[in-house]
Amino acid sequence: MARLSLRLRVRGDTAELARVRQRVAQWASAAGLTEAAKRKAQLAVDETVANAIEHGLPDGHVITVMGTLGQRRLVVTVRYQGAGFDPTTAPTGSADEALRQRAEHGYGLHLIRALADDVAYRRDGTVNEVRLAVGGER
Amino acid sequence: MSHFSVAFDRRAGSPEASVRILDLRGELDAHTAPDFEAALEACLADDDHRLVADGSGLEYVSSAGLGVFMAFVEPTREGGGDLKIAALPERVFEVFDLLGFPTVFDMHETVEEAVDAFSN
Repeated sequence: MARLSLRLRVRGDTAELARVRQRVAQWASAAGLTEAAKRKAQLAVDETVANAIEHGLPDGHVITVMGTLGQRRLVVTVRYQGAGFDPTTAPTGSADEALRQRAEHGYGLHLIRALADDVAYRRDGTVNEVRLAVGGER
Repeated sequence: MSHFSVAFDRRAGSPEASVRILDLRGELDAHTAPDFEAALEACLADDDHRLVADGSGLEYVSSAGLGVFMAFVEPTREGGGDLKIAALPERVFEVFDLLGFPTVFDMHETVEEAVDAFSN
């Protein structure tokens, strides 16, 4: 029986990103998702956790990644303490403008918004929570 | 931990107009992007501006890796060369394509094509 939920604790260190991707892939495969859906989930979660590491996380804190599988999509929640960073409202301009300006940063948000069907953010005290819904075609 | 390596000791083209090849292998993410950045900086420090990134061994790329490519495209062009990208596996190309990177970069299916493009 495939595990239909994911729960992962991640140190605030980019060295953890490969493990995050591996666990998301295992989870998505066990749930019977297509390769394309698995890759979308991996990249969207990777970018969200990388943002948490870069923008908010004080030393020694952990990020929690939780996933549930619905009928038609994956829902992944990334929760961490630290400075707020709202991926739904952070200004990025258009991807075309970033390309024209040869911007070196900001593509992560464009990827998250392009890959996820829905992105939500909420902040409760010092806790940030980003929720991604990714198409879960099987 | 992400496994990634970049070798950049291979050259192609003619001795008087050589092209330096960067062999990318593994996963290019926020953890490993600094290694790629250091390799590109080393190439520019050697006054090599005609570069081809051989992506045939690349298994994954995230925005941090894309940002490194973007950081070096203009410096190579200003130096009379280019940073061309070759042989990306389809699943990796999809990420470049999603953000429109093929409109900025000269991308080729093979390293040989990319090297030849410096002569055209």
